[in-house]
Amino acid sequence: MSPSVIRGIFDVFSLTSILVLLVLGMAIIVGMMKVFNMCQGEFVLLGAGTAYLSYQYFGSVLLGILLAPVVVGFFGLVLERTVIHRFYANPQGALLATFAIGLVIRETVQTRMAAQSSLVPAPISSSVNIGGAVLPIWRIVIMIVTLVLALTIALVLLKTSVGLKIRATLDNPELVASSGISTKWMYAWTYALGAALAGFAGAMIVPLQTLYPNLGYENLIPMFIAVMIGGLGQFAGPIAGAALIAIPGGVLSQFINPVSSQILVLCFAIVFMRFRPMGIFQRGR
Amino acid sequence: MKRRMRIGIAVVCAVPILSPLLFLSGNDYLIQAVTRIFIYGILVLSVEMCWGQTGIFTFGQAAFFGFGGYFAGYMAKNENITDLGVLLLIALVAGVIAGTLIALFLFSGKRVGELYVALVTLAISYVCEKLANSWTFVGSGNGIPGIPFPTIFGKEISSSIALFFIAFGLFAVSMIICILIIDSQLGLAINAVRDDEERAEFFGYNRSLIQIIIFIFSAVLASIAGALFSLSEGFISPSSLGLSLSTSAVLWVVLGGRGTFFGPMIALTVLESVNIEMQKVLPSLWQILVGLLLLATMIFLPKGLMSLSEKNWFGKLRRAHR
Amino acid sequence: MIRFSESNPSIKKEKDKMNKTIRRKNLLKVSGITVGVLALSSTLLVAPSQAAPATGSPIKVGVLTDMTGAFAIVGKSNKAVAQFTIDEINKSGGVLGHKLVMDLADGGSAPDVATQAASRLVNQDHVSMVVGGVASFTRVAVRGVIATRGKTLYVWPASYEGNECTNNVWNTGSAPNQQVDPTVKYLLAQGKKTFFLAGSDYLYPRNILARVRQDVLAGGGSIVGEEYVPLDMTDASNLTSKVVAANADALFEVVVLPGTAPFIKGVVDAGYKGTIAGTLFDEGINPLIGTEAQGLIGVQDYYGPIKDAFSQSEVAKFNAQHPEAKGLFTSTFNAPAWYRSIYLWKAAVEKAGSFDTAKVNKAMDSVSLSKSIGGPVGFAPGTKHLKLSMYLGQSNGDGSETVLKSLGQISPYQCSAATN
Repeated sequence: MSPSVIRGIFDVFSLTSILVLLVLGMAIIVGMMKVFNMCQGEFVLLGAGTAYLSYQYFGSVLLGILLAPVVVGFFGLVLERTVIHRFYANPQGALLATFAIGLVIRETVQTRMAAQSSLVPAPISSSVNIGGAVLPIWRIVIMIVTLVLALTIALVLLKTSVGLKIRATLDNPELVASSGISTKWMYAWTYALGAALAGFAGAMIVPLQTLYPNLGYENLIPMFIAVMIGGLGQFAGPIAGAALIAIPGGVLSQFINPVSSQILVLCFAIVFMRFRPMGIFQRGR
Repeated sequence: MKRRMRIGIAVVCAVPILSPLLFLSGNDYLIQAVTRIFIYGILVLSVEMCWGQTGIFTFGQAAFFGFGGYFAGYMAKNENITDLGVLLLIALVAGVIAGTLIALFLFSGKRVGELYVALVTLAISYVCEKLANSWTFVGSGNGIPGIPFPTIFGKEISSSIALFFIAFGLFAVSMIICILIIDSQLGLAINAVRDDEERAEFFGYNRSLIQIIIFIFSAVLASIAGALFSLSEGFISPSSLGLSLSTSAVLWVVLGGRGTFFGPMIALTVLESVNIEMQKVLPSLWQILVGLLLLATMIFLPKGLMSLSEKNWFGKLRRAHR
Repeated sequence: MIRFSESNPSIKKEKDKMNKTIRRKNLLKVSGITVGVLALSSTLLVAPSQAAPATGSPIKVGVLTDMTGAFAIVGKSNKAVAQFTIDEINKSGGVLGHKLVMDLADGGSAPDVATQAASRLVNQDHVSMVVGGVASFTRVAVRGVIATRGKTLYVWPASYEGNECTNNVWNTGSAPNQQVDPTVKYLLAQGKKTFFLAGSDYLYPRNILARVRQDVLAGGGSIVGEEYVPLDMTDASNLTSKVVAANADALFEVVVLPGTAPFIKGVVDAGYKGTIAGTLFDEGINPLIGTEAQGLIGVQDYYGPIKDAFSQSEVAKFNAQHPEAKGLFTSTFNAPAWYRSIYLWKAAVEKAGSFDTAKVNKAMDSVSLSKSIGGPVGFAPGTKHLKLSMYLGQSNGDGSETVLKSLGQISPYQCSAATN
């Protein structure tokens, strides 16, 4: 296999793993909780920002990557308890309120950033040579981490009692409440988990680009479409949706320019959603 | 004559009476700014008709706005078609075609969820902006600069006052047409569809047809507004197609009060006026304030700022909107 | 509707309440509209009128740059340099006895925001001239508003792709032949035969790369690839792969902020061993790239280490007076061009003896400065561009620049009939 083919296949997998990583948090908040969280992109941004600040003040991007889910998760927790919980019965209101939150976060980051794009170096910036193709190690790390993380969460949700409680709360809150579990805090922690995952994703991927205020916002639509394609109601759907968007997009980009391929894939996704609005893995309400 | 029409006519009369104040200042920049408010006013009308009156959550209306703007701008600059009437007609046809395609896609056949509509229209706006940004034929990131002034019967309309009145005139006409629709039987029907799609269908209304008609009408309004924008500003860029303008339009409607008809226009006027002043000082700070205002509105005044007057009444008589 | 309302008391009560609320609603609507109108009218009262400058009254210089958005760091530099230059001129007596005052407008790194900012400068504040714009799309968007509709002098202080010959517009940045020709010549002289071209997808990179192509082919080299990426590109891996796969001797890149640094880093980290050249490398951009900046080749009208006493002392003064912009006086941030723009305009006003745009416009064509940053400069008559002293430089991994060669004064090939 020629090096450019190896690199091409690698790029497809890399782009897919990045989108899946970004979508993990959305899978929980939008997919499972059904909250149309328009500020999900800003959670990613905050995570990236944490990595950058950690690099600036502590000299370590790795520390930032570990801190990001904690910081953003906590932020998500506070947000849920103050704003989000008011809109569970009002998806339209949720969309607008979270959009407003996203706007505020984005513009605040914009004002705080002296230079409009800041570089965050990867913890491992070297590359490995496979078959003549030079592959950045950090992208490989992301692929592995994404796979492990997705599997771990799926296992936790399916096999552990915590996972059971989360799924039960989202399915039938009244019954769960009458079992003595605080649904209020289940929602709060679940939302926080979704935020933490987004923050983690942001910190992981920012070394591949630069930190700039629209970092999350620009990925928002593809992320939403991935989730809608996959189907709301469970965790696996959005992951599959992300793969379904990223793989054709990545393959197409090898032949036509990346912008056109993304547009094509999005158009197909929109049409597909019209005829199968529940997504690929149809489930529930 | 119904109340809405009375207020509409009052507004239409008030502006020409008050406008000499504006013209006397000799401040072209401000005249242009108010002209822009009228143009955005048409866009706001289109979202209010589509969402506020018919319940179609169109989150991507800027796509039609920009579409009309690009069409008119391209024709004026590259094909030398500058006659105002012709350009507006082109924008109208463009709006009809684009609107029909998307309306048929969304509303014919099975019902789709309101949020799906929002997401799809948002995605369309996003895709259009990306497309315009990368397509060199329409100037890619540059957009289309240097669009010539429109002409009427061959005479070039270059004075800002003339453009002001053209924009105002079209806004007034659009507003009156919208009021006529809402105050008619059709208006009752579209409100019925907004309030409860299923029930409206049970009553025998052709939900699908109503949604399609209003969607196309809104698309046409937005398209014409866009054409006017590119002709009076002399310039159109991908941002006129994309998320920021789409969400601004939704913002104005939400803050003004969805369904109140005049609320969104008031919100637009107030916000844009402040925006013009803030541009000089701290544009980012203003955006943050607007975001916070939207958030506060969603939490405390979900019906928009206009509902400050209705706080007591709503709980008792009206059912809350879905 | 059957009129139960009149007979049934509880319904009547509700109807009365309804009427009261409707009246309240009307009042709210009317007051809302009034507030809106008043808000607008109030801005009129604040709006000043224009007119020719009364003796001794300050002259407004319109400074249009991007303080927010992708080019904000350039805007920061521009603002500081403009203020520095204006302060220096004021200290030595101003222009024709009038002090200068800066009127800053933010172009927002977006053409639509820039258009409105320019309109404010010209149509509301009635500035005497406008200098500014960072990216070519800004210039193209605002020149109509400023120079054509607004009949105000517009000075464009950035190295760019050329072909700006609009009336009332003057260019003080380098033209393509002044940057591209020497760069390609150097690369060919170094033995590079195959070239890969990459750039952002808008006017400037496309035109620059067109000139590169012309020069390469004329010099006996060949082009093995040409790719463009959107301005808001988030992931450069696709382009990086193509560059590495093509493995040309040299890569000429015009990918602008914010994509420059990730792209170059990506290409170098992926193992590309050829020489990378471009029009945007110097002490301003190098730190953003990091260690991968080692070996980048470019030609600019000024670098920190050039051996010119005037430049050295002026820049030292700048760094002292504007610590907030320390280190931002670089060629890629257009700092030298801003400096000379305002001084050249001053010279033209003094030559014309008036601030009147038509007169200044005529005088601009033949003004020159014997001392300026980077060396002496002057307009090449009929070209609307400057004869500039250019320097060949190589970037270092620590952010600094090494001057490889001083190229002397180069004339621009623009606008007049006798250009190529």
